[in-house]
Amino acid sequence: MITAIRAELLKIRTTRLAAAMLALTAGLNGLVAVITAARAGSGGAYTVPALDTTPGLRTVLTSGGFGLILAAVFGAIVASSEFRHKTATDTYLDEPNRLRVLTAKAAAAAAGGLVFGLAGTAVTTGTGLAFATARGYGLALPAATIARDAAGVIVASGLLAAIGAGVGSLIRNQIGAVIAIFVWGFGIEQILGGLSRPAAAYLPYTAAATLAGARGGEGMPQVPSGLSPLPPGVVAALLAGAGILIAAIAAITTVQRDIT
Amino acid sequence: MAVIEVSGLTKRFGPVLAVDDLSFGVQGGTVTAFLGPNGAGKTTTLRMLLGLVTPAAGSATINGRPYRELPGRRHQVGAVLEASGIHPGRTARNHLRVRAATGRISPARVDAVLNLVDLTHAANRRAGDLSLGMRQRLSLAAAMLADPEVLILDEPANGLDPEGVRWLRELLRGLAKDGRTVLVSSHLLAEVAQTADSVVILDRGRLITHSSLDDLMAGTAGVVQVRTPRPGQLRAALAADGAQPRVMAADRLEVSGSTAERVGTLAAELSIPLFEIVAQATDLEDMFFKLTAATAGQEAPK
Repeated sequence: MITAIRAELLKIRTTRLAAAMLALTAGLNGLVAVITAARAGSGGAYTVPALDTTPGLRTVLTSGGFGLILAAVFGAIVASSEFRHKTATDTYLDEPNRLRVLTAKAAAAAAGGLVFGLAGTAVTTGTGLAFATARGYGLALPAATIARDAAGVIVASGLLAAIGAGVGSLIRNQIGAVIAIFVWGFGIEQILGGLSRPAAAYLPYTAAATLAGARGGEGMPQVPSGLSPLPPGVVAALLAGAGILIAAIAAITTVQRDIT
Repeated sequence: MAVIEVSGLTKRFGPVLAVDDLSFGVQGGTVTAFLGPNGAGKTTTLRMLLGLVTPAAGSATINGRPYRELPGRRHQVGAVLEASGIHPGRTARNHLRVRAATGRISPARVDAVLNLVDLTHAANRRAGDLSLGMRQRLSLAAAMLADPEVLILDEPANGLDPEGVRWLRELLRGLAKDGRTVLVSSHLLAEVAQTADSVVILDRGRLITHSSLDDLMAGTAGVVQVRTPRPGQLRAALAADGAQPRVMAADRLEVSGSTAERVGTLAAELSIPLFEIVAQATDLEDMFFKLTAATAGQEAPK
């Protein structure tokens, strides 16, 4: 298994996709964080409270929602790329155990996702703290909370990337897989969350956002207000479970199909 | 024992019977041409042999086992399948590094196989920037990574220019000389006829013929064209000799069932002058078309 994961990591390292998406994640997170922090406390439309308040600082620190969805997209691209570029034939010639390939791919995507999370949270946390310090504010959140949320971003990003890899293996069509992730994250979850607050906490993308520190009405994505987040361990288990479920569906359907 | 054994292999895609109860064996140390028109079922057969497509019935083994169950399979079998891709963003060398990693092969072989297919100069170019012929050679390099004894090549000449086809022929010849077992598919007999020991011809999923190239050549023995001022006398002599001569024109005969040497000797014995004697080259390609067109119930292409 270790050999298979190493091979998948080598595949990721030898194309420009990972570097490009990492730059995109850091760039988008930085952009959202800078704009949010610069306008914090100004009282204008779509602004957040000042950075010396808990909601204000928390919103900037957790503005990495784009990073989370991009981690899932990254996983989907990694998996579906085998079919887009028709490299699946050679991959399954070299390793006919398709479940092993799929698992290795999810693990490698998760490793990539962790790096995305690390970069994303470094940018947003760095930006938030830099703005707060520049304005002479004290820390409006305990250091332990900031560290826990940062760790949450990293873990959520890794798990979403693994889920994305499952989606990419299941759907196979790269554009279809990427669209499915955006529709799910920004569409279906928002609608379902609006319909039922208690259920929202269990939806993967929303749950990942709460693990990353987003609270009701704040952050990106917009976590429904009044939502009580699940404990971090439960969220991690939920995301891992979702990943395993999608991988299992892919394993008993798509993966058994003929490679033609 | 045959190194590659295909037995009763059958595959259906919806209403199409792609491969129909196909059986043949490939002996070790030989080059076998797997021939048939496009859509004959060659690729599906090779994909079933390599465990990528599940057969509806029958079995296919390499060295006595299904491909999926072969221990150290990449060290035993190398394959290049049609329509298998190379990530366009990966360099030639990195493509081989990835194939070495997925196939559990030492990366130390990467430079050796790049050299084997004459791509060392393009090692750091991205696959998307390589010509189709260069990508075909890169795929061959990947198949050769673990120096396997058995090679399965699906239409390796596709996309190659005439120089590339010649290069491929020489490579196949070299592989055969090393005692490797090669199964190479093609829809063009000419591409592989010069290197193949035996021929498996497939059409519409069914086996048309499986024979040695020599036997196939014997079956398509050519004719001898003769120009003589005494065709009637020569025709009678050849007929008495067991040949089948036909008068084609006032001074021309076409003789089948004999050889140019025999016709010339017979004419000399009878003091019949010959102005011209030509042994017409055996036309394997024509034979191939006739064999495959016969099953399609249509006229052989001229």
